[in-house]
Amino acid sequence: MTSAPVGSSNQGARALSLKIPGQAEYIGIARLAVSGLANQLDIPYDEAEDLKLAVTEACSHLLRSAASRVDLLVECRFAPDNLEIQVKSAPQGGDPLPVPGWSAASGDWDPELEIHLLEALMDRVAMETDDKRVPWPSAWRGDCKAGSEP
Amino acid sequence: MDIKVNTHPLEGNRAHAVEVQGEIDVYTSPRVKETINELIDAGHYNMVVNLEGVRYIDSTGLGVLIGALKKVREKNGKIVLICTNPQIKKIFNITGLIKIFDIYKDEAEALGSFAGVS
Repeated sequence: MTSAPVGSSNQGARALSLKIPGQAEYIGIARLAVSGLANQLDIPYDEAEDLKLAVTEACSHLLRSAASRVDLLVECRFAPDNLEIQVKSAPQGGDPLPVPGWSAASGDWDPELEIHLLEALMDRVAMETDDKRVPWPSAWRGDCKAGSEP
Repeated sequence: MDIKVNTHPLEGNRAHAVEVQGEIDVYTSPRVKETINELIDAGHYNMVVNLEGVRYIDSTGLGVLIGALKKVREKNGKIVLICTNPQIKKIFNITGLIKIFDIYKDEAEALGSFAGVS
């Protein structure tokens, strides 16, 4: 996990990056990191819980839709009044690792439910794909206002 | 990120309790699914899933509960939930699942919904 100031045009903003292996058991680590950052930024508990869920949904979505083995990158850019989180999958080559207990045929995965939750929990959500042949986003970006409302 | 899932029959065998403790996500939800499926395979189609020990649930966990509900309904059974955690109830609200699942505040109230079931 790394933290650094963001470019000079973005006054006071900092960035924190976390790279985790693209395996289900590591998603909880991303959740913990975001929770810790939210605490550091004095984000109210309810909003911090929303952030944790949104990041988990984004990680799960990218993991299950990966066409190859991936790492997951969670990048947070934060200023006193704003927090932007981007979750990306970085292909590592080779077949995707199976998500234990889950298969496409299991019926437990509802991508629409994931996206609905993301959109409901964050102030703004964008999904991007690097490869138009893949019908799933390879990155997810969401932001929320940091800190308490005045 | 561990999860504990315990089951036991409730008063008069009207339903089985499924008590979950921990965080339900893509990694841990298979454990919940496995336990519920074991009950269904054993012919227990009425369940009270107690989420009071759950700190967190994501869409995968919701998917497991929805899948289980579909299965027991095919056998004229039902699944009700115990949950008072506002953050988790909020997720059921956002997703509209509050209309699908009956959610109670404690075991006695949940068991009351099985009145008439023998």
